[in-house]
Amino acid sequence: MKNKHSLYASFGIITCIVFFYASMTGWAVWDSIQTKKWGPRGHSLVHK
Amino acid sequence: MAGETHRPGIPATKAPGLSQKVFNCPSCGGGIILRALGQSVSVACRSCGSVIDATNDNYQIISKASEQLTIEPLIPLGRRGKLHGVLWEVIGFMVRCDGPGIYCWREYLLFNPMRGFRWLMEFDGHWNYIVMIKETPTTDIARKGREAGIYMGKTYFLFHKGIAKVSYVMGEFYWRVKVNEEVEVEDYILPPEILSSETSGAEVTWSMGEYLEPDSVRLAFQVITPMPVPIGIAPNQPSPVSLHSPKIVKNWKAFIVIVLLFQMLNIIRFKNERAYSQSFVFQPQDVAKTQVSPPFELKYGTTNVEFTLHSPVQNTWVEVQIDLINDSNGKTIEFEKGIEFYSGRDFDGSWSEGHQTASILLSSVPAGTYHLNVEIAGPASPQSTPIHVLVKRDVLTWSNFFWTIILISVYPLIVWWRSRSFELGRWVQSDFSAYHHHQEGE
Repeated sequence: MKNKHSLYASFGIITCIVFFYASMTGWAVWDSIQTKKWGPRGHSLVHK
Repeated sequence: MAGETHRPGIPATKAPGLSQKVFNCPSCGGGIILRALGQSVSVACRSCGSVIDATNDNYQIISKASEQLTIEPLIPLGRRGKLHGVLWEVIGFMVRCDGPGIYCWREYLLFNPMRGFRWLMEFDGHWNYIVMIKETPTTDIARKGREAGIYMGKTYFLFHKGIAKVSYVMGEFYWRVKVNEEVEVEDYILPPEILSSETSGAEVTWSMGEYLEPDSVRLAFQVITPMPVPIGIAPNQPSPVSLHSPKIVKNWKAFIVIVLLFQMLNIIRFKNERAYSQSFVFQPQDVAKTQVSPPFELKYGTTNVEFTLHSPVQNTWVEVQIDLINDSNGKTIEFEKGIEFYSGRDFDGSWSEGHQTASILLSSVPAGTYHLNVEIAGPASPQSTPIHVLVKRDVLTWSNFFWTIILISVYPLIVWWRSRSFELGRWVQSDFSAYHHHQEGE
């Protein structure tokens, strides 16, 4: 359990650092994923 | 339900240096060893089960066994073992059961000439090390809507009330033990501790039990025979994923506060500046024709850019492909966005689908002078469609914030869920469970 808590503490610190970095550089992680991977390429509702 | 350790109060320990004594059972003639000479009040013959008065050399029979002895204790009488740094000798063994006799548990009386008596109790493979206490805990109080007892400043929750009846004895004891003698019992728990009371007439005795891992008992007393496999969850078994003591909640709270503070700083810090806006028009004959914007400035180092596209489409669609081109180095970021909006009426009333506005956020775009190449596609239609493009620089985003909160909360939530499942498993055996109240109330 103790090791898991240490791992969690490390994970939390890294997550916070990534959040800081993303905020400082305007890196919107979720939007980047959407744009790059699943961003709309055409449209689902319309048949061309 | 068991988990109980109920016996009269322990007499004061006499001087050390006590020796053993051997005599013959007045009932069957079998040899009996008195290991706690001067301390033991009664002794049960392991040959015939008769309980004999051990306070004087007359060795009068207190009670005779009604049936043949068949129970062999896991830890033999006379076996010595070290628990909590003290060498104990097993001098007595008894089996007790609840009122209906459904649940039975086994108790081993331990003796050390310097320390006196202790108990080892085993039920369903779970073990407790038990010390009699002289102080009387405060009971009949409510904590968090439950009956509780307080001892040494700690709150113990009522887990069990019932009857404990002696069904079998072997070896010696510090009171005149009798088969079938009954006492009322109450158990209060604060894992890994269990606070138990035994009431017989006007006499109430209290004991404090501590959960022991079966392996620690096996190693201490060199038990060769297989230990009973623990079944279920013991009343005072410590949770392997307890949220109460670990640092996890403390860490989680600290992370939440840090992230909240930083997001509040972001609210102030982000400029959310309108960098550029222009209306483009889509003509059906202009398919694949690129429209070029005048140059515009994106400031503030490397940060994000948000594009908001609006078109008053009605039961139709347009698709916009935009290239954001850095005029100084030609680097291009391209993306596509569709705008579509449909509405109408049917049997269920009016309906609509899609939006006339769409937005997209580009991450980490360096400062510089840029222009847009815009290509618009749409259905073949005689009408032209206007599309308004708004470019905002250094926009506050919430997705990072929420994803951070989710990520740092996943592990604490798993631990909380596992801890709760464990506690539900524990309290399902109790008539005094707070979880029962919640479930009944739901």
